[in-house]
Amino acid sequence: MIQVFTNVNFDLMGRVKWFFIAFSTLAAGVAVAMMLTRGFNYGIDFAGGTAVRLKFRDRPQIEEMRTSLQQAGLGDISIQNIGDPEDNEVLIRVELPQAAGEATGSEGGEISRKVMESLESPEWHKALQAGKLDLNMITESDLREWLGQHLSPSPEGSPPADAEAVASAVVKYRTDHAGLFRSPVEAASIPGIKPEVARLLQEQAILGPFTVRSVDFIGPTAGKELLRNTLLAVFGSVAGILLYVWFRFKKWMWGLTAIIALVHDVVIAAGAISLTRKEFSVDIVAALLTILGYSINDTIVVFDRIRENLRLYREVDFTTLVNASINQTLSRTILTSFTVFIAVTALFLYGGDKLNPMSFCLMVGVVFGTYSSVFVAAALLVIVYENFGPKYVKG
Amino acid sequence: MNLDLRWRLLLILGVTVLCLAAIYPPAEKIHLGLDLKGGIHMVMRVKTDDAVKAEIDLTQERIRSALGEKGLAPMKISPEGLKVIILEGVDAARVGEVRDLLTRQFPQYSLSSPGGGRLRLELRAKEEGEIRDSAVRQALETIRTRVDKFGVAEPTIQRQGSGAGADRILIQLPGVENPERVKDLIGSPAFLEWKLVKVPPGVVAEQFRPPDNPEAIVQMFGGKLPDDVEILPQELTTSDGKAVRVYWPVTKSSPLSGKDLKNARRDQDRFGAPAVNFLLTADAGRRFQELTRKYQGQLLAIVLDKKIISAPRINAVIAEQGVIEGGNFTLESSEDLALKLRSGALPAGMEILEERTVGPSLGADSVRQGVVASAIGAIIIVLFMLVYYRLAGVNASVALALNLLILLAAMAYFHSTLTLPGIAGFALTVGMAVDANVLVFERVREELRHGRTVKAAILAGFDRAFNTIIDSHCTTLIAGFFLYAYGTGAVKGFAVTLNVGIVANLFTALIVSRAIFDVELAVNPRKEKLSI
Repeated sequence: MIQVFTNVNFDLMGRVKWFFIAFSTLAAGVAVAMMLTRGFNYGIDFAGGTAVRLKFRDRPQIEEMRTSLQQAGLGDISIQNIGDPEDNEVLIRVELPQAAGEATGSEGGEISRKVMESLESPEWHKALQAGKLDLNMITESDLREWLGQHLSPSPEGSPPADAEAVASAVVKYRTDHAGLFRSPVEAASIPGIKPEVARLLQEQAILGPFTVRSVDFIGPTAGKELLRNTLLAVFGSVAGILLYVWFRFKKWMWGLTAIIALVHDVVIAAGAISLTRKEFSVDIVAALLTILGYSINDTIVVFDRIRENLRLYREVDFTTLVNASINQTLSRTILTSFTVFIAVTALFLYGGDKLNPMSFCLMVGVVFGTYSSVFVAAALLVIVYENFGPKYVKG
Repeated sequence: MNLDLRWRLLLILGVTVLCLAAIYPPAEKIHLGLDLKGGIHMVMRVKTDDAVKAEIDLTQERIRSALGEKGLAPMKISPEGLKVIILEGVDAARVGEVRDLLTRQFPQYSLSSPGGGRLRLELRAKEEGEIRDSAVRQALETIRTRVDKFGVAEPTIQRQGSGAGADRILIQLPGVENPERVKDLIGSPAFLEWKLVKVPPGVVAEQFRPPDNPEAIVQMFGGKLPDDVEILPQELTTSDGKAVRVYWPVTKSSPLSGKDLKNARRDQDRFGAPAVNFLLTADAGRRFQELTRKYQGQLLAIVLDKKIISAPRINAVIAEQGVIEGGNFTLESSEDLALKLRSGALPAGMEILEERTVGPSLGADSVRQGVVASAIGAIIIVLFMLVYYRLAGVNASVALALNLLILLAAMAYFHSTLTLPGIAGFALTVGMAVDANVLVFERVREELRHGRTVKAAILAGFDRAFNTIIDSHCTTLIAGFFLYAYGTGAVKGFAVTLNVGIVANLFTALIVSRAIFDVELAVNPRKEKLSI
């Protein structure tokens, strides 16, 4: 039988607890200072604006792009690489105009169109006007129409290729390959396409330098509302959990120490987001709330054991009893967090760039959630007992 | 095997079968969110102020004509703020009569006299609420019609928020490839009006050239526009492809509007360029006939959403049928305009609050990455449980598998959509699902160490861990509830998977996992060693 800890008895509630309390205070303090001074790298969910995500055939020239976008008069722009460098993906963010008046109703589209126009090369533009089609940008319905006009019966008299089937095969191939044909050869060798169609595509098609992966536009009002909802959700959850723990453990002090541990976890997780400049989006809000709900679990495991032991061993000193309870539950405290940690680490490593900030936040939260159940929640209970006597902690 | 256990096994079997039925076939039953499938997501706000303003404008006209008929016309009727109409210069001797008429004919307004020969009409709050509410409902209907006519599979068009004050409309169009076209199609009011061009004094209609700034028109009118004239822009493209904007003086009132249309379809003008052909209702046809006879030789502006499309000269008397031409139409835009005119105008302007377009390739990548990451997490966790708890690890893995199955089935049953954060919710569920097993197994081990029999240890393990499991699930649910209540869009999807996963976990950890142990015990009641 494998066991993390068997019959251990670490003295965790002795003087050493002050070291951890000091560490936690410091960590939480740094996190708060970080949030106050450095702030968050707000995503457009909160800040509003437009985000255009493009994937290029070749390594994108960020500085050149910046210059041409600035020339287009788009105002405040930021460009960043996303994913691995060989993915050639960039995210272009355009801030809302400072004098945010009433939205005209088509700003998002307008801006993304401007972005794309300013990135187009003149040669590409000329080719399009000459009637070529851009296989990387064309929609399936447009391609179908174009093929319908250009597919002619082959000289041998066999029926013309089915425009609908070809268009759907081409677009399916493109979708499965990150939305982009990298070379004309690739475009001509799509499975299930007849050679004469492939020849036609090779002659008539050009491959644009990029494809649009997504466009997001968030108006100025949405962000404020989101912030309000976020705060409501956070305070609602904290209050709800406080009441629940108070109700279940009968002593408000238990609820309070559990909540302090909880707030400590969330503050540190948020501070980690601020420190790493990861994008603060609604996903982060979801992660923080999940930490609120989850990181208390370990505290409950410990508290439950303390409550149980209090009933069994009435005359044992409270500090000793808490220490024993922690030691008895140490392996399950660590194991339960470990399985969740595996899950979020897998998301962090393999879940793609969109889930990355969220899973990072969860990783930090899970680790500190485990730590705080022992060194904040239980330690605070002991400190209250040692300084104010049993009336706050024992029923 | 005792009866109770048999019933429990039957229950588990039943649940499994039901769940399998609910998700079969998965491609149809599991709805992917737009972030995974690709498409357009929009949140629009109906500017209900527009509808209130239109009501006030209309009432002013009606008051003018009602009082005019009785020879009671006041000197001036003007709006104040959004929902107040002020009558000035009412004949002092006949104020009573005016008041009577107003209260009788306009009961939706509250009447007061602030003094100075003025009367004040204010739209009642209840009426205002109804106007706003009906504007949103009408907008919803119109957008639905337009999307249906455009032909999008499985669109979502919903009013968001609760109560009559909710002015948001959520639109989700999966798989749509051309966002700009669709956005214009559903977002533009398509409010069509015909207005007479009021050429400045001393100018012949044919010779009037609209200037490129509105001030020039004011100058032509001698520094002040007449009360019934407004200036509207027209966007033109010059022969060398440059966009210019010119301004026309037109009447404020519009003798005909989009409401008078019976039908509209794409057509061609005399030169074969795309245009829109319209058919008026019989009544409007008569009015149009009268109008064109009376104003022959003058210019009639066709106005769409306060922008002039064209201002042709009235050459002949026109009755029911006509053509809108010269608006720089393309094949697509003329077809879209006809569609919009057929489905009616939006009662108020729309503001885009949020617009997200996800390309299909990004969606496919997200699904792949999310599923791979969750699968890797799940495999490692299962391996860990098997190594650490040996045979009991199998027990936990079965419970985990059933947990995921129930989660999928619940999502299919409630028609929840699976979003990318929802996939993260799945991954988290995997991690949390075994937590309850860990709590039980550790407790069982502890009891075994204290020298209990296998049977007693299992009993005590589940018993004692019960409270802890309930407590920890409840707190997670509390946070999950707030996440669901205040979360938006994809995050709601995360909350759904998380919450449902936790509830399902109670069943699998407390009932399924327990039943498996009980089967082991039933097979071998004197079991002395437990593989845990």
